[in-house]
Parts: sequence; C-alpha cells; structure tokens
Amino acid sequence: MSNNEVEEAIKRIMSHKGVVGLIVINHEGIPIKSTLENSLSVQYAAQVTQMVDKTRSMIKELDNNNDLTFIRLRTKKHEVLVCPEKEYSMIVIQNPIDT
Amino acid sequence: MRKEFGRQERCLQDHFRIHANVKPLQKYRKLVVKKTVVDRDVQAAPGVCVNEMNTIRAEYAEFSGLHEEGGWPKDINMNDPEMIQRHRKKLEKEDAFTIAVPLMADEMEELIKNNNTINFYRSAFSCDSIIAPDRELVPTATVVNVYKNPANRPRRVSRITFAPENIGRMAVAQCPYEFDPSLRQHAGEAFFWEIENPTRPEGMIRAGSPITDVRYHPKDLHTIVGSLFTGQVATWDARVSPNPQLVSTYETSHTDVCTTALWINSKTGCEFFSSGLDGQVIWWDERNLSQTLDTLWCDPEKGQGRPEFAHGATVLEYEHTLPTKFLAGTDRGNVMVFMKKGKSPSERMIHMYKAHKGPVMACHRNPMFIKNFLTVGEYHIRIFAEDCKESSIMWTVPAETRYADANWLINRPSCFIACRNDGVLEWWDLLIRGGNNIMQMKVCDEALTAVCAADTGKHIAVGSIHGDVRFIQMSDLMSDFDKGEKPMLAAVFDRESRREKYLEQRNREIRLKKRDLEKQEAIQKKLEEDEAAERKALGLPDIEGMDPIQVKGMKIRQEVARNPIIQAEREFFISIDEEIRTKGIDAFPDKKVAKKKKSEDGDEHQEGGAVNITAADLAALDFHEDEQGADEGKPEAPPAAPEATPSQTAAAPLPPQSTTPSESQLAPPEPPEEEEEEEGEESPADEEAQNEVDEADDEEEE
Repeated sequence: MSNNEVEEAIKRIMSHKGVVGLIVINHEGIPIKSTLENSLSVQYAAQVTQMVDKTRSMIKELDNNNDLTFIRLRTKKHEVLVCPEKEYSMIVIQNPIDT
Repeated sequence: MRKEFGRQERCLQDHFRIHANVKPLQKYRKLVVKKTVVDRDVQAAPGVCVNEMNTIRAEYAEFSGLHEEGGWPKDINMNDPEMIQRHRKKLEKEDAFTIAVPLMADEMEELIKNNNTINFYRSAFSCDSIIAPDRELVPTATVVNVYKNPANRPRRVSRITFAPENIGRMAVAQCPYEFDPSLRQHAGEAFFWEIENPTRPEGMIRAGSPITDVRYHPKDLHTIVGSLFTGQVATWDARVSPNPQLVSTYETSHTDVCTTALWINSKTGCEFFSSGLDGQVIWWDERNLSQTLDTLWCDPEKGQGRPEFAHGATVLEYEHTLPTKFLAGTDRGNVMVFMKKGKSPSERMIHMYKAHKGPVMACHRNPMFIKNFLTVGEYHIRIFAEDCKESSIMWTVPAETRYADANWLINRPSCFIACRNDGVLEWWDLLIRGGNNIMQMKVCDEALTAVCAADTGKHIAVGSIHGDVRFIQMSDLMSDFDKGEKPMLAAVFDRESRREKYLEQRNREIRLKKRDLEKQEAIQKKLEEDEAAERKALGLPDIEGMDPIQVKGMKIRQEVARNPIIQAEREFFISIDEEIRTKGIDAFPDKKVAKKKKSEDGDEHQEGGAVNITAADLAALDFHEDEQGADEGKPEAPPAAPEATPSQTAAAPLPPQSTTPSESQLAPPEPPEEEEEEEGEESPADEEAQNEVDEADDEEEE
C-alpha cells in the first residue's frame, strides 16, 4: 500500500541520529502526520507556514525565476529543517552532533 | 490695480553702452595691501548639512500571540478528537500526500545525513577567540529611550536610582527646588520605570509633599525609602500601596528640605540616614520613624556640633565597603568627612575640604578607588584624595554653564559623566584625556538636573528639568575596562596626590618662614615703640624729622639716660654741685690743696664770688682718666689726685657764682675753654676730659 511507503519513509527519517521529531503539514496548516504531541505540532505548523510564505515571497520578488528549496534554521538548541512542497511541508527537528 | 504694478518690462537687444565708468583713484594706490595669507576657504561645491531626526518617543506595546488551531474545514468540529482523527486519516489517503512525502523524505534525508556527518557551524579557523576589535577612537552615544514625565506639570528630576541586582528597573524622583508656594500644594510622586518599557511607568509612590530622593533597599526590591521636601522621611512597600507605610513625624525630622536618604549596611538591614538643608544628619530605623537613632550637626568647626553654625547638607555619600565614614557636601561648598561612630560624645568631623564656592551638587566616591571622590559645584568638577587635606588633587576648567550633577561610571572607574544646565552631557575620562572632556552630547534643549549610571554599564539615565528621563547608550569605548588600566588609574591618582602633598608641604614651609619673619618684625617694632615711649618719658624730643646725625645723638643720649651707671654718676655730680654751692671750699676733702690753689691764682678771678675755682685749679686737679694730665699739671696735684679725683671731676661743672644757676648751666662750656686758651699749660688730655664732662653736662641739662 502506498501508505506503507509513507510510513516507511517516516520511519527511516526518525531512525537517523539526532532527529527529535517530524511533522507533515498541508497547505492549510493542519499537521497530518506528526511524531510530536499535538499542541507543539500546531505551534510549529503555524510558525513554519508563515515563515515559508514569507521566505518564498522574498525569493520570488528578488528573482522571479528563483524558488525556495528548503529552509534550515539553526538555533541554539537544535536545527529545524523545512522542506516545502506544492501542497505539503515537512518539518524535521534535529539535534546536531557536537564535535 | 494693474497700472500700479508698473510697466511691463520689455527687453531689447542693444549694443554695448557704457553708462558709468569709475576709474581707480591713484591716491589710494599706496594704501593697497596685498594679503598673502588668506584664511577664508572657498569651495565651489554646494553646501550640505547633516541633520538627524527622530521621533521623540515611539510607543511600544508587547503582545504575544495565541495560536489557535485553524485550517480545519468548517464542517469539522475542532474539539472533537474523533472527527479530527477521521479527517486526518482521510487526508493521508490522498494521492498527493503519498507521493509528496517520500519525495520530501528523500530530500530531508540528505540534509539530515549532512548534519550528522559534519558540524557545519564549528569554527574551522585557528583563532579560538574573537579578536577584540581595535578600540574605537571616537566615543559615541545615542539616546535610546525617553521616559516622559507622566505628571502634567513639568517638575525637574531630582534623583534617578537603579534597582539593585541589575533588574532593569529605575526609580525617578521629581521635585522642584524652586520656592513656589503653588507647587507645594501638589502631592509629590515618584515613579518606577521598567527600562525596557518607556511608554508608561510601572509603579508609583505618593507622599504628602514632593519627594526629593528615592532609594531602593539594597537587598529588598520592594522596600523603598524617600526623603520629602518638608524634611520628613518616609518608607514604602511598593507591593502594598503607593502611599507611604511610615512617615516620620515633624518633630523628629529635619527642619528644612531633606535632600538625601541612603540605606546603611547594618546588621538589621533596616537602618538608613538622611541629610537636610538644616545641617542635620539623622539616622533612622525604618520600622519606627517616630524616633531617631542618632543626629549630627554639620558644624564646620572640628569637634563642635552646634546647630546655629551648621551648614546645610546637600548631598550624602556612603560606601558600604567603608562603613565607618561618610561624606556630606554642604550648601557652602565644603565637603565634610564624618566618622560614623565617634569616640567622643559628638560624632566627629574628621576633616572639612573646601571644594566649591557654591553648594555641592554631588559627591561620589570612585567605585574602584574609594579614597578618591569627586564633587561637583557651580562651574567645576573636583576630584579629591582623602589624604590631601588642603585642596583637591584634580579639577576641571570652568565650564560654560553650571553643573547640576556628576557621577562615576560603574564599569569604567576612570570615566565620569556630568550634566550641565544647558542640556549638555559631558563624558570625562582620566586615562584618555585629563584636561578636557572626551565627549559632549546635547541631550535636550532644557537643563539637565540629574544623572546616574545604569548597572548594565553601558547606559546612563539623565533627567531634565521638565521631568523627562533619557536613557543613553554608550559605545564600548566608555564601558570597557581592561585589567591593565587599573594600575594606570592608580598611578594617575597617586601622581596627583603626591603633587598636592608636595605643594602643601612647600606652602607650610613658606608660611612658617613668614611667621618667623613676622615675629622678628614684631619684636623689632616693639623695641622701637618701647624706645619711643622711653624717650617721651625722659622728655627727649621725638626722633621723627631729625637728620641722621641728630638721631644718632638722640639715641646716644637715650642710651646714656637709660644706663644706670651714668645715671648714678650724674646724680653724684648734681649732689656735689649742691654741696659746693652750699658749703663752698669746705666741700673738698683736702682743704689745704684747695686753699693753696686759691691763694696762688685766686686773684685773677676774684670778682666772681665766694667760690671761684679757676682754670688753674682745674688744671691742677688731676682727672683720674689721664695720668699725663696729672704729670703735666702742678706737682702738688699728684698726691692729692687719687682722693680729690671725684671732687676734681665734680669741680669741673662748677659755674662761677656770679651767674644764676640756670645761666650757669650754659656758662661752663665757655669759661673753662677760655681758661684753657689762656693757660696753655693745660694738656689736651684735660681738654678731652673736660669735653667729656661737658658732654655729660649737656646731657644732664637738655
């Protein structure tokens, strides 16, 4: 089943080192799949949607032929990776390795 | 009207026509001076100027957003978990979803693997620490916040203090110092501000009269003490209410404006003390303000505490690292150092420094070198060292306007800030430039009245006369202090205090010398006065107006008159004179000799009277001073000489009896001399002796 693929993909990502959580949101901002608890997912969804919109508009304005591929947000505590697609976005929170 | 405007101009093209020609006058040619050095610059570029503008204050309000869930279709009830779950499941089943997720997952994996492999953000370059940027050469400062006066009337800011422990709170006391009865009727308020929020004050305290000073308790943020314009002090608990918890009673408080109140580091933690313009310094316990713990009068004389002579105290300074001493600045411009617990009954003033000609507006110890403190007066700022008692060790040139307040910066002890009456804030740094301020900044158009350095170390709060407080951020130049600078600052203070001490010592030496000289002169003068008095007593004429020879003569006379031996001699002469006059020749012990003499030469001068000792007699008499005279004289003379000596000497001044005693006094100089001329046998020595005697005679008479 194609659903299996989805599950497998998610499992694969979660198995990587340092990954804390994963959220898949749709264009409306509803978290469809999430490994974090609901309230946190909702918060992330809200913030990330806004940011993706803003970033995309910025890139488009500067150069119309350009487009946003992904956003990597490094914070003190972890790194937030956002991969926006046409309809959905995937958000992954990872703890980077400390050398 | 149109016709009033004048005719319309019509421009015609015409050939050149000279209407006036003014030729240069030859006579002025010589007056022409060529200026070889020109100090005016000419620039052909358009003039531009820079102007900065900012809104006076932007109102900020902080809000945080509450994210509600959204995006759910209308028919689904958000709060129903069942429905949500079902909807989710439905979404998962969509085709787009199943395609998109693996795609995204692939991309994501790349990134994740990247992150796991390598730490992008480590420092790959060898320098471990960020190299400190070169110290900026030009200090800068900007106004970051303006805290506007919340009250409707403009009242000058009298004190700004920051809450302890760097919380980011500031207390502003506003109190007009002008004597205006209408202002007094309003209640006084002091406001608390949160530094981040300049829009409105966080809190407020209120009292019956304007509050001149407001202080946080060093350990407890909510206990606040303030001093009031009426001379009372009051404590508040900020959590409870804006009204004071306790107000001191009128009887125990200051009788004039209470200018400062400071907390003391005591065991109980409840003590504070206040100073007032009446000259008192009072210690209080905050729990009971109806009683004072102790009082002290700022009497300028050491060891005295008299209320009538006390100077009003305008500022107090207390440093808890030095708990036994405190400084008080007075309204006469002196700074007094007091010992808090004096051994003598009255708490002792250790020393009084003469600082300014006007009231001392501020007095603060250096946070790093507590033995040095700065004071601010009318147009100067002075820095003192405690050991140099005569004067300040450093001071500034007079400024253009009066200074209102000054304080050291917390993070950088070599730097201090001063605010002036023309709205200019000055930064001074002793290590960068001692003679002038390193930066001036015009903060506002009105006068500045209070300044305080914030605990952050990078900011300063300055209050103006309208009641606004401006928060200024400084560049790093003024807030960084390296380890190497502490000994440099110590060296600066040391050098200046040594210079002052040296000057003090020299001064003292000069004064001592002068005092000795004066003493000498005084003694001399006294001597002369005594002499003059003596002279008056003796009847001698005054020395004034005589030429030097006469003066000398007069002085000799005086000396002779004073000398007891001469006096005795003189008296003796006088008595002999009397005897001779009364008894005649019988006065002489050796009658035989005298008779013989008389018989020999007596005929020549018989007209005179009963007794007439002739020159021959005199010559025969042997003056004991001259042996020669004795030998040359008559041979009979020698045996009689020793005995007759006093009588012989006494005989000389004898006048011929014919003349009256007063005249006779004048006569003796003449006859003996005449006789001497007649009888050349007389030796010059006799003459001498006679002259001496004559002199004595003169002195006796005059």
